[in-house]
Amino acid sequence: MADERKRFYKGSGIAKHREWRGLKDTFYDYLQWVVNLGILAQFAAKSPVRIVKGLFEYRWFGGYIGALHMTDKCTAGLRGPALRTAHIQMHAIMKGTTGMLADSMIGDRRFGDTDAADKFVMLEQTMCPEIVAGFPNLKALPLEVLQGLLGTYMDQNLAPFYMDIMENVGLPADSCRLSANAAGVAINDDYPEVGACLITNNMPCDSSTMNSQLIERRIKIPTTVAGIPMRWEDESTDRYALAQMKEVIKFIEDTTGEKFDEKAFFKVMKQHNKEVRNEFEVWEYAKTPYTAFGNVISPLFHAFYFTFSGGSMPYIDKAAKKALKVAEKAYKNKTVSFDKARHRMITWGGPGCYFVDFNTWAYNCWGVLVPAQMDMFSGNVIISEDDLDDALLGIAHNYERGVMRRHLTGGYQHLLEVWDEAEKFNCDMVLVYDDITCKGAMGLAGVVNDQAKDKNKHLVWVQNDMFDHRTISRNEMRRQFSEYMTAVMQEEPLDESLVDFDDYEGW
Amino acid sequence: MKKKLLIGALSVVPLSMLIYWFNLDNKLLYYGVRPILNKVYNSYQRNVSL
Ligand code: SF4
Repeated sequence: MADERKRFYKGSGIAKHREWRGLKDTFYDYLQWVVNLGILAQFAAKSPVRIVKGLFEYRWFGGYIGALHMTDKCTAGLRGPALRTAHIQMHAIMKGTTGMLADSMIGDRRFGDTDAADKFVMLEQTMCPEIVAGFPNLKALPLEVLQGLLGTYMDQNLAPFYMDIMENVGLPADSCRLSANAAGVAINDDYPEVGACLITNNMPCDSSTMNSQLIERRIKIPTTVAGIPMRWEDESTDRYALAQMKEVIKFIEDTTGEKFDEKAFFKVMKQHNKEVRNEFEVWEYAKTPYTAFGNVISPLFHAFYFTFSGGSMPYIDKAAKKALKVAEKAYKNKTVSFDKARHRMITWGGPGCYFVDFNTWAYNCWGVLVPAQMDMFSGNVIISEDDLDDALLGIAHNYERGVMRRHLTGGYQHLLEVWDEAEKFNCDMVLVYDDITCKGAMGLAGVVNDQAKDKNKHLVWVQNDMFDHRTISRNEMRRQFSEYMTAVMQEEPLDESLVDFDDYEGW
Repeated sequence: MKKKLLIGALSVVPLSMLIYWFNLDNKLLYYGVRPILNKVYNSYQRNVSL
């Protein structure tokens, strides 16, 4: 029996040496590591002084030094085509993330006044980047996601500091961790001072509304709220959604002095559509036993381009097509990339972001392959490429189907889409995350349980606290899942050393 | 001179392989850089009133 955990130091979870994947795959992995170093070098070269200043100024920035470690975690156990598609997608994620980080520092007024600061339209939380597509001289830049979600993937210790600040000033401790972190960053004055304007949004969650208000107080640029309908299946909300989109565009024009450019806009919409069509192709492979897409990086890639690109990052389409070529070859040759898989499982609900490689662990420890997870079903709307009103409405629809809006707060029927998707992706197991501070979704726990019984499906719940590993640690998440695997699935672990181990102090 | 450059260039590959295999990059970042950064961050006094 394998003894993979021996390779790691207890507590920190740092590997003593990298994984031996056979000569060919280890050498391939080494080459991809070199490529990653190249991406990081390019990043540092963009504005060395400002980037170093930023690293020492912002605590959240320090979390990003765990990027290479995160890549290793997410690719653990992968071989052949699966390793290749994962690296190809991961390079694009790295390129995009480092690009946004560099932009945040280049435009940060804290490090001296700069014209570059006004070239960015800041987007709060999940606001859609497509809304900036008609302004070729401007760039969309996220606020909150860089300081929360993305950083937490790399370092589980990033968010607790900010959440404690938020609680220490007397704000409710049972808030959603996503919003608690965003509020803490605002209170600690840790957002870069960048951008010509900020577009916030109307997430219905209690704490999300609170953090928007706090951010507005701290941020020194004009802001507007994009109020996008939550009950989007009702066609009568379309008129309102369209009007909101137009208002946001007018706000950008007014605050930046730029004019909306239709030609540039449709060019980006074409790219957006390419990204969505690529995703649909990925799904077709993921449904088969010969998939080269699985575990964690493929859904991450989707969440990444949905949130940040929306057609504006040309390398996303390139990476997707390159990965699809690998997948096509594997499928034609009937190559089983995930040869340890004994079960196929769909994951649903809000995951523990501090355990980004949960799927990879489930595969290596229990032989459970995750070919699909909830994030993959966000957006995916094909937008008109020639009619402006239709296209703006398409952007609204794409945004309304965003992951938290669609599944967690967009009406019970969307949370329950899990059964259909499980069927389509040939999954015999369903994992629903019990994100203990995401209240909207959890009201339905009883219904989900009843439906699992009716449908005779294997349903496992795994608790998490989204950004706070102190409440429910990674090892506790592992314990809950392992208990189900032994008690209900009657399985033995593929690697006993991975069932219970200490990585509490680690990134 | 050319010879030295060639030797230098050629030694980059095995050296980088060594760093890769023994995970020296992550060890340096986790055990070396991270504590220094944390010390710097902890030294800051910020006004955290609402
Ligand atoms: S949907 Fe859930 S996770 Fe997202 S902001 Fe609302 S409470 Fe938080």
